[in-house]
Amino acid sequence: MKEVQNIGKRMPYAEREDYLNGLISQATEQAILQGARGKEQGASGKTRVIRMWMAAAAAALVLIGGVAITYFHQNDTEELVAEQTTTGPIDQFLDNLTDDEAQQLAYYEIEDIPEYY
Amino acid sequence: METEIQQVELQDMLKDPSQREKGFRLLMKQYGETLYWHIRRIVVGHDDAEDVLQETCIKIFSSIDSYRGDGKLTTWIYSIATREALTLLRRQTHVFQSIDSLGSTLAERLEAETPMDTNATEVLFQKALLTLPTQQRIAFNLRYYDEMSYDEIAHITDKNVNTLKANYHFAQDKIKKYIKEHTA
Repeated sequence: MKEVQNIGKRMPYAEREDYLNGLISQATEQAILQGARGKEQGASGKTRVIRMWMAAAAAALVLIGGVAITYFHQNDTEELVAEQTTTGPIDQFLDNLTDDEAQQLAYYEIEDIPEYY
Repeated sequence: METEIQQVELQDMLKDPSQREKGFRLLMKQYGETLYWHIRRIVVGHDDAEDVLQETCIKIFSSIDSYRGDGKLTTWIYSIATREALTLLRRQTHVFQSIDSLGSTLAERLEAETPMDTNATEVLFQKALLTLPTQQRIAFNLRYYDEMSYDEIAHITDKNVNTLKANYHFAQDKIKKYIKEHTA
């Protein structure tokens, strides 16, 4: 036990003073560098997030715009068709027919059709 | 007292972003070596100690903002170093294996890293320390080698002061018993 008391706080392994100083200095500088990189990455990370949000907003806008254009375009076509159907000469003719005239047209005989010379 | 003033100065420098790097360099110059040996005593291997020291430096520098200054700066950096060393030991265990079971592995590492001409008693003493449960070993190291108060050790290890005192005496007995058994 006396021998144990004699060794005090000595460790069975040792490292050279200059080696340890170099190691600590290297670890210190690396930590500072990492810290600076972390800040930069944090800043570029924020920029990346903003860019992503902007891209997502633009994509959403294009999608909504596309749907809206398609929707209004379809309505326009329907209106055009509707206009055409109501303004076409055949439709105007049919619209102006009375019920009797329409029935006469539906139950016509071939002989009733005047011949064109 | 001189050290206390330096600690306050260091704290102020570390809190000031324009002086942070300078303060950190001074901090590491002052405590880097003691931190290295504290880590080395936990992980035993030099390469592991080097890795843990690097991780500790990065953690300290990146978390300076979270240091409130309520406790001593040294206690705070020792806490980070201890946690980093324990993290490395945990990584070296298998699933469901406790870090306390790493004692024999660490003893083998100790022998591998010890020069041939080393005093056998020094090795025996370290081997006796490695038979202690990890947390108990860390507390013993902080008290014996770093001469910290039980309050400081309690802060670092997150343990009760009375438990630490009891553990320290228990550890002493266990070490004495081990040495007696291996020298007879």
